[in-house]
Amino acid sequence: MPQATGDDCADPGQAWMLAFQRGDDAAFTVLVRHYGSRVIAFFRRAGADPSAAEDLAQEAFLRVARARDRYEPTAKFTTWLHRILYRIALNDATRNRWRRSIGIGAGRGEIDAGGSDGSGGSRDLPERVAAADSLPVHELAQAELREQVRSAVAALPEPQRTALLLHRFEERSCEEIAETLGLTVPAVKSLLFRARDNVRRRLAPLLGDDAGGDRDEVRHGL
Amino acid sequence: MDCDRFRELLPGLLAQELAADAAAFAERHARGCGACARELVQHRRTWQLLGVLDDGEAAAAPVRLEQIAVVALARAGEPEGADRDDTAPAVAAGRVASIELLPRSRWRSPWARAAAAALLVASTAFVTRWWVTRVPTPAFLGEPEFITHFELLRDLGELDRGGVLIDLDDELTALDALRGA
Repeated sequence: MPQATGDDCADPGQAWMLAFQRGDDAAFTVLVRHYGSRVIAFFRRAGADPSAAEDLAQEAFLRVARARDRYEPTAKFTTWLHRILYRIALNDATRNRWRRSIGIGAGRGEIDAGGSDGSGGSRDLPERVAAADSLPVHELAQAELREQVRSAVAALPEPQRTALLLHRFEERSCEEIAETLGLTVPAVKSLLFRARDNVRRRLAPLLGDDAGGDRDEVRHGL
Repeated sequence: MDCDRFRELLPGLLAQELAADAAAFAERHARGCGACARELVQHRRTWQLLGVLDDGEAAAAPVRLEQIAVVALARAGEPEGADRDDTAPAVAAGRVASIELLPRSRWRSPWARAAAAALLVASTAFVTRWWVTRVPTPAFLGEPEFITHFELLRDLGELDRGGVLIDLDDELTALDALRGA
């Protein structure tokens, strides 16, 4: 059992990492159990298929383990971890793997996310059809929508993508994102707006095009 | 132009960081301008739409997280320049769960590639021997090596149905024919 549970610390990740640094391997396992799903979800939202997301999470935690001796708790653990995820996202080889794995152009309302090899995702067509057949219509529509949104996010350049993911899904403040990405806060704000605008443009067909209705929505404060 | 001013204010409006008078101006403008209203509404809908990525992200299986931790610990001491996808050393050392315990969908992961590569290398000598002779004798077909290799190729072919790793169709057909003869 790990010596540090993290329960008594404001930053459990930091406590586990320090325990790991002192030689407590079980603390590292606890850390992976605690943050693993979030890391996998980060890569999934960035466009990786489930298998690739797990591989990328493996790589992330390998980097965490390798940093054992040089880790210094100068920032929140999640900020440090997000920096690792960002560096993986920046890695060209990794990025190519992501681009191979996303199902760009699948289904109706194709979105040109760019960078696709045209393979239509990691699953074979019969497998995709079989999976689709097993879903009720509303679930199918939801799954398709999710893939389109995922593709739009996956197509974002870095660091827009990481900034958007950290802000929207990890609820990181602009200050925290600035620290993670090594940017100024105004630069992060600009980055976030451009990321949001790019996703909006890619998803425009799904967002409606009714100027009169939009004015009504503004009046009623959507 | 009011539209230009609106676009300048839009990032702050979306981030809810505008001063009250600036926010009031932007909202008022959008209520009277179809194009700016559309842009504002689309931005807000985009933010909502991103929420679909929150759905369907089930927590990773605890056993998978354990594997990630074990492999990371096992490989942490290796040189950083090593192929990061290759988990074979940890598998070989018995420090991670056997790949047979993983669902077959995992076979397209680096684990699968490493394991498949190892299996293929192990059987290379036999394959070469068989392809060079091309006319195996009945005794040869009964050799344990042959049977093992046949089963191995069949399993690999089944696992690699997309032909990503290697195209085994011709070899399996030939082996099937020989075995059935």
